[in-house]
This record gives sequence, C-alpha cells and structure tokens, in this order.
Amino acid sequence: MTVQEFTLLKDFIYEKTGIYFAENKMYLLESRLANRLNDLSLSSFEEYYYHLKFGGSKTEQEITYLYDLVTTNETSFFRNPPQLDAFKIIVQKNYLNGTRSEGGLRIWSAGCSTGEEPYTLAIMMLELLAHSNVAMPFTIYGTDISTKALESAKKAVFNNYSIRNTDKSILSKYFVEDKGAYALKDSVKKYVTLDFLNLMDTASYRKYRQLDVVFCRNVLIYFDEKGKKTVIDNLYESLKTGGFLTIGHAESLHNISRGFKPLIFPGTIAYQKG
Amino acid sequence: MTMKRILIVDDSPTIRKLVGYVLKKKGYVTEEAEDGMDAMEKLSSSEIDLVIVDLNMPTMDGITFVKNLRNSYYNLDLPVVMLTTTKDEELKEEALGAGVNMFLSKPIQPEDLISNIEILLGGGP
Repeated sequence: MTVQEFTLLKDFIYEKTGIYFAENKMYLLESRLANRLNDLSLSSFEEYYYHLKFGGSKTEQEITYLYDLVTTNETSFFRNPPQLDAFKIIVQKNYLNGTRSEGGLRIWSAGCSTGEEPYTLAIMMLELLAHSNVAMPFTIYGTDISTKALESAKKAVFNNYSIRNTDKSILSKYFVEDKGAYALKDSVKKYVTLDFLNLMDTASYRKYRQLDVVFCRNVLIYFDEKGKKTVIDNLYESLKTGGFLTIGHAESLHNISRGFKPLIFPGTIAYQKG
Repeated sequence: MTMKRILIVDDSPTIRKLVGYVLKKKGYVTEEAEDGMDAMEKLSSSEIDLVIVDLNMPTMDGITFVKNLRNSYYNLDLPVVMLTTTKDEELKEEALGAGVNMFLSKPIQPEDLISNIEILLGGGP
C-alpha cells in the first residue's frame, strides 16, 4: 500500500464511518484489506478504492464488507465485572427499589459486535428479576456496523473463548452445549433485538429514544475527537433524563461531554444524563 | 506499608506541581487531575485517600465535583479539602452544603497544608 492509497482509503472510511486510521495504522489497514483485493482479483489498493467509490450497484455491498474489515469483534460474555456490577446497582437502586420502573427498562448495547454484551445484559436482567419480587418488562437493543458480526449474533452460538468468564450455573441455565459450542436459549434471545446502525449517522438514532441504560464500550477508541463528540452527543439525546451511559474502562468523557454527570461505582464509573 | 494517596485537582499545572511537591516531600503519593470530570475518572480507577480541589475550573468546577462524588455509589465519603482564593462566603456555604470537609486559603504555608490535611486523614502518610 502506498501512502497515497492509504490516504484515499482512510479518508473514504472516515467519511463513511467516522472510524479514524492514524498514519501509524497504515500496515493494519493494509493487512485487513489485502484478502479483499485477492477475492476481487484487483491488483492495487487504488483499484480497490475506485471499486468502492465507483462500483455502481456493487458499491453498497462492498461497503458492508469494508465495515466488517475495519472493525474488531473482540468481546466475551461477562466482560469487565466492575462495570456489570455497576449496572446491577443501577437497576436495583433506581428501578427495582425505585420509582422509575414505569413502562419497563430500555437498554441499548451500541457496538454489540457478535452479541455477547446484549445477551449478558439480558441474562443479568433475568437473574435480577428472578431474585426480586418485581415484575418489570425490559427490552435490549444491540446494534453494530458489521453485518457479519450481527449475523453471528443472531445465530447466538458461542465458543469456549466467548464464555470463558461465565459461571457454570449460568451456562447450564441459559445455554445448550453441543460439542464445545454453546447455543443461547430462546428464553434469553427473545429479549434482544439486533439491528445495523452506523453510530456516525445521526438520523438513524431516531429508533433509539428514551433509553434507561446505554452500553457503548470500546467503541470510542475507533473515532477521532470530533467523531467521539458526535457519538456521545447522539447517545446523550437517546437517553432519557436520569439514564446511564457506560463506556469502555480505558475510555474517557473528559473534554468530550459536559452534559453527563459522572458517578463512581466500585472500580468503575458511569455517566448519568442530568 | 502503603503510603496514602492524595489527588490534586486544579486547572493550573503550577498549583498542581507546587502542592504535589509539598505533599511528596512529606511522603505522600500524589495524583493530578485538571478538572472535576478528570478527577471523577481518576477516582474510579485508583484508590485515593483524600482530594484537594480548586473551586473554579473549566468543564467541571469544584462544587459540582463534590456534589457528584457525594451522589456516587462508592467512595462517597472521601475527605475533600477545597483550596481557594475566594472570600465569597455564600460560595463557601454552598460548597460546604455540597459536602466539602474543609477550606484552606491560597496561598498556603506548606506546614499549614500538611497539618490540616492530617486532621482529616487522622494521621500522617
């Protein structure tokens, strides 16, 4: 990949997705796109750029491939326990023991990849409700830019690596194991609605309004300062007043948003819409 | 023995450096944050024994910071010292109401800073 080709492609990706490849990420982009060049029998990245930009009817489809290639799908069930414990505290104190439960709970996993996060939240809600005497409807939305990841999420069959942090009791209660593959039961799947969403596309947030809790973990890392602000402003609009946002444990809203009220939980932080 | 950790929150790097120098010399471990939001994020990821905070800061001021801390679900009773030049008694009242434990006036003598925070910490480093 030449520097010129890198510039063309990184600008194209930024314009479409907000995902920003810095100069030092040229080799990363090259390695991710190399197979696609082979598949299409193209001889240079410049040709690939023209295929993306002027491919006519094929452009749309190629862009969905591109979205799959430029995102990372590293995730697992019950990832980062302190953040999940904070979620539990939020639900218990504000909804199960509080007054804010009317109409049920609306939760969004923004950047849900192959589904482990929204399904973890569904399992946690089922467990929380089972241990309380409150009957409360809840819905969990999972969205991602990668259609390949979403297809996998819809299948909801997971490998050993995905469930490595999952308690045995949870595994036997909510999964069916077959030769090392763990299929999530419909009793959990039915609470999760999965759909495509490009977080840079402000208009598409319209479907996600009046949310109680938003998880958007390890997504901001893809964006530059401007992109981060756009995404966080959009998520702010999607939350109801008093709703909570959780971002990745290494991510920060410092200098990104003034609207949120940070609250400390054991070993982590969550941001409340004031 | 682990040394006590103090978080210094001030938008002025000079103040952070000066206060940090006094505390480190006495044997404390210090961390720095440049405003209230930065401070809350630092508090969520490291164990802190006391916070020294400025009143006026961009993005999140000292009073808002203390309000958020006291509304939190963890570490909400952490001692907070407000180090300020303000003579405004109403603002001080508001800060006390929000949960500030002690006021100290800038500029401050190193020995006064140390002796006052050690009252709140119940001992030395």
